[in-house]
Parts: sequence; C-alpha cells; structure tokens
Amino acid sequence: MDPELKILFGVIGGILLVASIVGAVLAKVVKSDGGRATVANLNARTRSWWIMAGIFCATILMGHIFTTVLFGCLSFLALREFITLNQTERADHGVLFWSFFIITPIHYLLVGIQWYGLFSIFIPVYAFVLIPFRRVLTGETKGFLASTSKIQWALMVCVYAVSHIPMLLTLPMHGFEGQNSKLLFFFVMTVQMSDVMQYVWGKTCGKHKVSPNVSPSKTWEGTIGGIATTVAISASLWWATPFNPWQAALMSLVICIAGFFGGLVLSAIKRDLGVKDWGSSIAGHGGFLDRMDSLCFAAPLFFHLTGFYFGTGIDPAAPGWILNLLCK
Amino acid sequence: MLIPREGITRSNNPVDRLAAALEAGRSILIFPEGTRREDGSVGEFRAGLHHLAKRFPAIPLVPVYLENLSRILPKGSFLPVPLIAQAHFREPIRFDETEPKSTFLTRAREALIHQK
Repeated sequence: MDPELKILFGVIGGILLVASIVGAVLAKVVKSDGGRATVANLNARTRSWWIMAGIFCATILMGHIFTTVLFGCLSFLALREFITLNQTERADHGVLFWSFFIITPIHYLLVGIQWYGLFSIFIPVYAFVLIPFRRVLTGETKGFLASTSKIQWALMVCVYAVSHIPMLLTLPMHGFEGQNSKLLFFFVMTVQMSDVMQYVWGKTCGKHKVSPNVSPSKTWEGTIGGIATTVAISASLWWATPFNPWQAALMSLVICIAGFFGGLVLSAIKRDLGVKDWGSSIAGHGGFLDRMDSLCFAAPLFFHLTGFYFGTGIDPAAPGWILNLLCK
Repeated sequence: MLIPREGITRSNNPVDRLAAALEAGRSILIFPEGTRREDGSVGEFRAGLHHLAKRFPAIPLVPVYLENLSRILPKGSFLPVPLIAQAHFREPIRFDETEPKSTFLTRAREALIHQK
C-alpha cells in the first residue's frame, strides 16, 4: 500500500475520531430541546460518515474496477432518487428503462475499459440523440420537451458528472503514474470536507443567509469559514497530489466553489419540488443525492482542469483491442 | 389467495374464502380496485370490500396507499423501472351499517387517497 495513501486514510480517521468525541461530549453537555435534536443529527451524521469513509477507503484499495463499480452504483441510486421525485409521464417509461439499464451501464463500462473518447461524448451526444428518438416512438406529444430535458439532465448530473470521479484513475500525468487513486482521494475528501466544514461553521456562527429562498441552511459565515478551512487542510496535503502547495490551494478552492454551487443548484430543484431531502437512505444526511450534490458539479471541472494543466494529453482513440476487433 | 376472474358462482364465491381466513384469526390484504388504471390513479372500489366489511363489522380496515407503483411498472409494460415506492398507512376506518354501499365504498376510497 502506498505510504502516502496510508497517511491520507489516517487524516480521515483522525478527523472522524475527533468528531465522534466532540459529539459524545456534546450529547452529555447540551440540555435544551433544540440543541439535543441538533446533536442527535450531528451524531447520526458522524456514524454515517464512518461507514461511508470505510466503504470508500476499502474500495480505493481494491483498485480501479471496484472503484468504478462503486461509483456506478452511486450513480444508479442518485438517478433513482432524481427520477422518483421529478414526475415523469407514462410515455417516458421506455426511455427511463433505457436510462437505468442500458445508458448507465454502458457509460460505466466505458469508464471500466478506459475509452476516454467515447466516455466523454456518450451521454452528451448519443444519449441526447437516443432519448427523444425513443420517446417520439410512443406517439405521445404531451410534455415532450419537459420530459426529455428532465431525463437528459438527470443523466448528466447523476451519471455523466459523477463518473468523472472514477475516470480520474485513468488520467495520465507526468511523474504521477500509478498514483491516481490519491488524486481521486484528494478530490472526494476536499468536496466532502468542504460540506462538513460549512455545516460546522454554519451551525456555530452562521447568521447571514446566502440565499434563504433556495437553501435556508447556507450562511455566508458557514460558506466562507468552511471553504477557507477546507482549502487550508487540502493545500497541506499537496504532497499526495501532482500539485505544489499553491496549486493544491487553488484547485481545492475551485472544487469548493463548484461544490457550493452544485449544492445550491440541487437545492433549488428540491425547493421547486417541495421536498427537503432527495431520499432517506443515509441516516442524518437524507438521500444519496444529498451527499453527492456537491460532487456532481465539481467532478468534471476538477477532471478537466487537472487533465489540461497537469495531464500528458488523453488519447481519444478507442483502446487497441476494440480497434482490432472492428478493423479485422 | 387467488381469485378467479371469471366463472364466479354462489358455490365458489371468493368472499367466502376471505371470510374463512378472517374467522381463522388471520389478517387479509385486499386490492379493492381489482385492477390498475392506465394513468396510475386510484380506481373505483368494487363491491367485495363492502360484502366483507358487512360480515365483519368489528374488524378495522386499514387503507394502505402504494405510491409510485404505476410508474415502476405501468399497466401494459413488462419492463420495470427501479423508482422508489412508498407504502402510506392511513387511519383505519370501520363499517357503518346505516351507510349505503356506494357511500361506504366512496368513503373507503377517500380514506385511502387523502392523508388526514
């Protein structure tokens, strides 16, 4: 096991240990009813964090295939939550079946075989073309554009964007060969840390709401404090990345800001649908999409920024064995 | 308990079989619509529920609303879509002997659809 990865796992374990101890102390100290509810939620969140971090770290150690499968499953579950809450029509049934059982698996297969060229256009081009084709076959015109747009959006956010996280493992970089799992770890840790720190700062000294209409829990104090803390922590982990300290700081700032807006955007959709959470699968957090909202929008940005400035150029051609198969 | 859709006579009346199960002290789960609608809305309740309730006026009837089933597997489709389904348990209702059959069935349907 990569010794630097060991340290990264240690950092996460340490932070969660501190959170668990603080939670246990708060549970003893806090007496007011409102405070008790907050502490109970905090402790539920921390317990879920231990499980999520454990699964994530174990999967990273198991390698590229397992990581791809993990994020494939997460995409599937996020898509399920997104489509469940966004009402679709009877005529969308066929398209939805395609989205869940054909488009999503094929897309993750492309991540698995590392065919960047098709991966990067499969959903934006092929799914974009096929979805309205399939829908028009039903002969139903009611809500045509609304439905096809919703489904395309759902695939872009839940599948395409999220899949850039396991795709980080395939990004070729000078002097960083075989170490991409640390890059993936750096990204996911920065996004999630940013969420946690914004929550902590917001709960302790949040006063001025950023956008009360969209997300009543986001405050300026929480956002700025959370992002500043995260950038500091992430920048101090520059040695595990292909970046130098200031590059790591800049990258984590971009990740945090994209993550913040991602959370805000998905929050706006939730408010429009009149719900508080996307689901109830993760105790204390809500649904899978509630935990992944900030990852969705930051992942493609981080992937391309890293690839553009630090990569050695991604070969967009099909893998050799596929070309052999097709051209024989 | 499978209920034949055709050829129902006095001798093989499915309500008798349900009644036997209730007398044996078991709970039964019934789908009073008898079918599903194309658009997923709740259909009119069939008379079987009334027959049963009349024979067992003391037994509480718990309406359970199954949300999203028509989106998961609409009538006429063989391919399921894995959406999240929810079962909503409503306040139990009871048989009222002063009530005509159609009023009872409407009341039962309303209790299923609307959250109190």
